[in-house]
Amino acid sequence: MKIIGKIIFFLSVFLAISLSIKGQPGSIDLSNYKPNYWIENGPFELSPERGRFTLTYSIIENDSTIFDTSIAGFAAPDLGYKDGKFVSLFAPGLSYILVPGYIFGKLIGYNQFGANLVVALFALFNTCLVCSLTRRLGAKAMASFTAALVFIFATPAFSYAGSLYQHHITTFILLSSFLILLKERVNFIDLAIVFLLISSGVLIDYPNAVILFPLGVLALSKIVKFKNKKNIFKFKIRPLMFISALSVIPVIMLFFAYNKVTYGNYLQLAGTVQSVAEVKNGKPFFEGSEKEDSFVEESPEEDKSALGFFETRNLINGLYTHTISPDRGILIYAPVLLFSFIGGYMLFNKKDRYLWFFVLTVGLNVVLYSLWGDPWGGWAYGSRYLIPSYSLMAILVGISLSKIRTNKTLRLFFMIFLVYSIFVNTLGAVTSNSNLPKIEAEELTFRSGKEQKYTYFRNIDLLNEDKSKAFIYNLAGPQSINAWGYFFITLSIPTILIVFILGQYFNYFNIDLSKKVINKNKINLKN
Amino acid sequence: MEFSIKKTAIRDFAEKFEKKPVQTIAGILSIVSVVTFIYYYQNGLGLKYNDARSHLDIARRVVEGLKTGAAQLGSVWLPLPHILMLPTIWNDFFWHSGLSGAIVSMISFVAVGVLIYKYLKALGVGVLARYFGVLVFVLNINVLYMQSTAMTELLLLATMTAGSYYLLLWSRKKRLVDILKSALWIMLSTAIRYDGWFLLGFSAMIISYISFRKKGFEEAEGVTILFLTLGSLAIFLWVIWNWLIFNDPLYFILGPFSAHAQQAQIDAAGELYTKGNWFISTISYIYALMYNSYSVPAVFGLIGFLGLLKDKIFKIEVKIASLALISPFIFNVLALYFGHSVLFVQGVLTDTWFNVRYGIMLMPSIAIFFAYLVDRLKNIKFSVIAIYLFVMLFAFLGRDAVTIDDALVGASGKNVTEVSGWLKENVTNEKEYVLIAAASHDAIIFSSGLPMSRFVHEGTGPYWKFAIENPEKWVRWIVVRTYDMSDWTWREIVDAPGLSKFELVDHYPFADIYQLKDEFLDEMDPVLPPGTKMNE
Repeated sequence: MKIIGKIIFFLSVFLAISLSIKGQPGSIDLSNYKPNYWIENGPFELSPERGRFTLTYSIIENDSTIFDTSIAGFAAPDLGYKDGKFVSLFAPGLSYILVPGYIFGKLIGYNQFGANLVVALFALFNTCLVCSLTRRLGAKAMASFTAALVFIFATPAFSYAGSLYQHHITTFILLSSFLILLKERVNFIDLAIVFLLISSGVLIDYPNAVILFPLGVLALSKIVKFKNKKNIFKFKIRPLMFISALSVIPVIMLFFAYNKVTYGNYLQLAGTVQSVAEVKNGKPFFEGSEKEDSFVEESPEEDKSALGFFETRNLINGLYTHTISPDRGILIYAPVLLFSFIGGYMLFNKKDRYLWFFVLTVGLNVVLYSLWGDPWGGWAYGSRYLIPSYSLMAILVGISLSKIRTNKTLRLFFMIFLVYSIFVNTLGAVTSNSNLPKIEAEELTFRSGKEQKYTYFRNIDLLNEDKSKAFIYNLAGPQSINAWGYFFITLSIPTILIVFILGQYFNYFNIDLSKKVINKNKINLKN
Repeated sequence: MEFSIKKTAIRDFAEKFEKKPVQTIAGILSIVSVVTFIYYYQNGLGLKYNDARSHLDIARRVVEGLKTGAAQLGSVWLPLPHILMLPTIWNDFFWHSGLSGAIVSMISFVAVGVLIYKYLKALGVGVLARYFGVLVFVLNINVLYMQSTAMTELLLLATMTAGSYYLLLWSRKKRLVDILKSALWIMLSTAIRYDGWFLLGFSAMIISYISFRKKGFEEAEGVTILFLTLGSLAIFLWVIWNWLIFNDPLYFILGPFSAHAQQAQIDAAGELYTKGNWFISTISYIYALMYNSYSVPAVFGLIGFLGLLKDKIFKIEVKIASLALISPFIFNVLALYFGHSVLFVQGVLTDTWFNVRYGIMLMPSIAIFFAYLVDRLKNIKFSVIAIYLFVMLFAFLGRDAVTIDDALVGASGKNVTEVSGWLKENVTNEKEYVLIAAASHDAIIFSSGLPMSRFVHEGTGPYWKFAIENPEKWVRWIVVRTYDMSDWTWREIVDAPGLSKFELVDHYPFADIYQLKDEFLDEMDPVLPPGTKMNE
């Protein structure tokens, strides 16, 4: 019965995720496509999606990691130019992972949908992993299901579950490796897998080298065991286990090979090549350094270093943006995660062995992308860079539930914040991720004279205009259902799941209460 | 493979650090301090602040110039930093390298490091966190830069932190000697900057409250009077000084060179954005604070501060005494709100920097509160330390220091090399003087590399008096901002008939240079008549 319940739960989750997958019916041909259909009103509204998809497309269709001039323009402005060749500006990992989905999609006539489906599957895996990890860390089954729901539906993870971004893959690496390392005694294979995953993570997105660093430390702690005994600190090293780290070699070789083939240099990182603003008649045009919005044919002299993108001077704006800003802040987009502090505090009081991992990973994630010059993540929905952290915070929310369920006020606030968070993130999931940062919205408002919204109210406007970028909505056609109707159908799935799970866990259905009544009666009888 | 470490060995190792912490910290910080000074001296950044050059000139005028003496300490700034430069300022290298002032900052830097350690020890914080607190203070490029300059920040930090430290000790043990020590250090801080005056009042309130709470009105009255008697001595002497030298006890507040007068000019230009606006005042200072501290330590420091206030380990007296550490925050916001201070921070209603270094005033407090937090975080302390080190890695990789930007591109620095270079090249005859207003052009005087005795300025008594009446008889050159009535020289000579005997020889963004025409050179005879009283 329990297994059937779990199957129903995860099938429901996948159904909701599927409803959010962005797409248009048909397969896109990058050398001849309708911009209005695929970009403005379609799933490729933002350049990171186009950039990664272009590489997948190029690998399959042209058998090359260098973009043909006929398809390069699709990736602009996130397009690189090196030695007279158009190349990707992104780490290649995600584009390779999308390949099976692309091939499957192509077979059924929806190549882009197929690619997005891969990300959706990873989102589902992440939901399972959050559930499993919460349980492993001592929460009740219902609390762990709630944590899973919080992660996938009550944070911007939902909006990015059906579009071509790297965040769910990173999250998968983080959570799956953490799950492996939670074992009391990990073996050689476990560690080899973890090191392989961590190194692969860097190919997915270079900043993962920082975000996944705590995993490396955790893995190391499994090789060098430390015990605090009465008079001594005892260290036990398993030297053979160090060999497991060699599993990173194939990944490093792949990395070098890709860089050599694509950029002509083993150590050239994707983001450090010259970026192209536009491609016209097969020629690259670069952003003019003098005037805004002007493109020049000559490549401006630019010294791009990977570390140069991160500056401490950005921290004030970055921390503000990720936490309380109206355009991206957790407080606005996923306030339910505030309850993770209660979970963290509970683990702190229990002197939990793994709390440091949560603190370090979330801390490095937040700080890294606060150092970043564009903490907004371009046009995005919520703070997308923090999706890996949302997963860990959701686990802590799950842990906090044992405290929340015993306090009426906390319970009330939790429900309000949860419902609000799910509502907000479903808006992004079924409409669009393309919300501009406040600073750009104000500029655009000033220039156009028309108010540009920059919070989820922009997405409400899209629903009012009967617009959704969801593949199934577009497949069914607006004649079948309107956008608001589609939104409520999608919203109903997490809502029903929440009502069912928390209804039980918080005793709203008096299921557990009946036991207490029986117990009380027994006590009365004894007396 | 197994190995073990005896806890006693670790304890012994920690004890070694604990045995002579002052010597250890002082030794390490002294090396850091000297290396940093050499670095900034060699790359020429150490003297980029206008104020640094002015501080050095003020001290130098006491011992060298057309009119020397203690009166040269003036009233523009409080006197202690200049008094502390006197033992070395006579030496040309110490003067022109800035070392005369920097050495005070460097000693203060070491002292603050030691005080942070001692403060944390007094709070019962463990050894690791104590050293971590020192690290947070030291691993800050803004602090390292300011300690390499002849600015007053580090000296102020040292005296204020020392005052707060003894206040904390008094709150714990109620020994009167601690009150006196606290009063002594705070008294010294009142002779450095007006931040010290606020700390004096703030600390007096803390002392009164704690004493009243514990032992009633009479005790509170006695202890507060004792504290204020010593604590306000420097203020009293400063008022007397202003009375004696400038015939006005409030000259430092209302005089033409006071901060009030300078702010009035900025206000008239409509650029005193913070005046009368709590929000802008608070935000401006928070931004300055965040930029100076690299944000993350400030955030952790705030959490630590709130944690300390809630910590049941401490008595209420200790918590109240620790509030002295946040007095710079309150003072700066109040000063901005009332228009007594000016602060430009890029991104807050302006795109330039000015006085952003004020944000550094909370650095010892941030270090202390952050270290306290680390101590209380038990098994997750290393995560927080790692996050902090990660941030600092980028701070050092990017060489991020707003205080340097302020000096280089902000309003706190002024590139006067063209004017000073001209003077250096052309003012060669030892018997020819330059008429210049030190209040406006101290940076030029300093950067010219010429002896102070070559300049006739508003502090040179009869030389100034005679020169503004008949400039052609007394000086060969006049450096002035033409038509600018805030330039004292221009204001005084604009109607002088002799001015027509000068010709404009060069024009620069910060000043113009006039030279006595060759045909009038014979009229020049800059010798004081016999019997002229220098002190008139």
